[in-house]
Amino acid sequence: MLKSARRTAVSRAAALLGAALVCAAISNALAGPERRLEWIRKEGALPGSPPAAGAPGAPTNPAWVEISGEEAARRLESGAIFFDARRSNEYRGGHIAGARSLSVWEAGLDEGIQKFFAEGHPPAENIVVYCNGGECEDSHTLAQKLFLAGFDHVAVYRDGFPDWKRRGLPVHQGDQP
Amino acid sequence: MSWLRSRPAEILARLILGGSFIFAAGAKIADPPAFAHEIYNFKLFPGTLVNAAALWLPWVEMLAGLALVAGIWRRVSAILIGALLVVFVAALSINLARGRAVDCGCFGSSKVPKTTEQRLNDMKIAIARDALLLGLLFPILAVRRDDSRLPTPDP
Repeated sequence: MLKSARRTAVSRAAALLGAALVCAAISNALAGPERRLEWIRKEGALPGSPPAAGAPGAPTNPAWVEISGEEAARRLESGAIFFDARRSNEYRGGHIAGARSLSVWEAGLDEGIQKFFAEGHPPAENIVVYCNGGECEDSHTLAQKLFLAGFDHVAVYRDGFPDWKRRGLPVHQGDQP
Repeated sequence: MSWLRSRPAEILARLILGGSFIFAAGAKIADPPAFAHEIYNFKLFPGTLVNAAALWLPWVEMLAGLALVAGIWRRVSAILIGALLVVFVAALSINLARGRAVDCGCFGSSKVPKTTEQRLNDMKIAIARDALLLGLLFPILAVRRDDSRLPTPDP
């Protein structure tokens, strides 16, 4: 009696968990690109610790370097390519003038990087990535992705978009860079 | 304390607990990438599984919440919700112990930037709230065993 009650409970729990999986699959398939997720997140996308410049034992050729707002502004002027790692809706609301959107939390990140690669940029292309500064790690995630794709001059704008705005530097709104 | 085992207490507990889960799940289902980001920030889950968890968990919350409110498979849905609450409390506590200020993401992600102190404080509030919600399991799970006057058994 007790055994069959337990069996019923287990099969009901399994049915509920299974139904949730089906609902998740359907809702993800119907979601737009900004709301869709790939079921398996590729591990290569995860950031390592940002290398501390000059620290003992720091790699001589780090995957990326961290730069300040002044340096970011200087690199924009000298023609570096900027990538905005934040969500698309944040990008639309305002981004560094000329920056392209490449959200690390939305589907199509790898396709975006492949597309950029296919444009034929040299490995030494100057690239700057940014997100919201502070504890935001998305720029590091994107820097790591770009590094793995073969670009070895990637810089992370440490303080990100809030700092850029504070400095009164050029900002664009909308879908286009 | 016998009112805790009464039918009205059971119904009220189911409505509050189930309703909270439906509400919380709705915000996460509306924006899975934001929830994936929150789970990632907890640094407790293998990176490859973060997205799958962000897609699946909110629907478990939603269906268990709906079942609990509707009174279908009450016991099973209550136990599932209880298990989720235990996981949430553990995840928050571990990060609090690590001194890592993370956005709880419980009811979707916060839209306003918070300071580290605000986040740590919000984590404590979230743990207390989850503990209270766990307490609501008592009237739900107790009523069936002890109240033989219950008109409708668990279907």
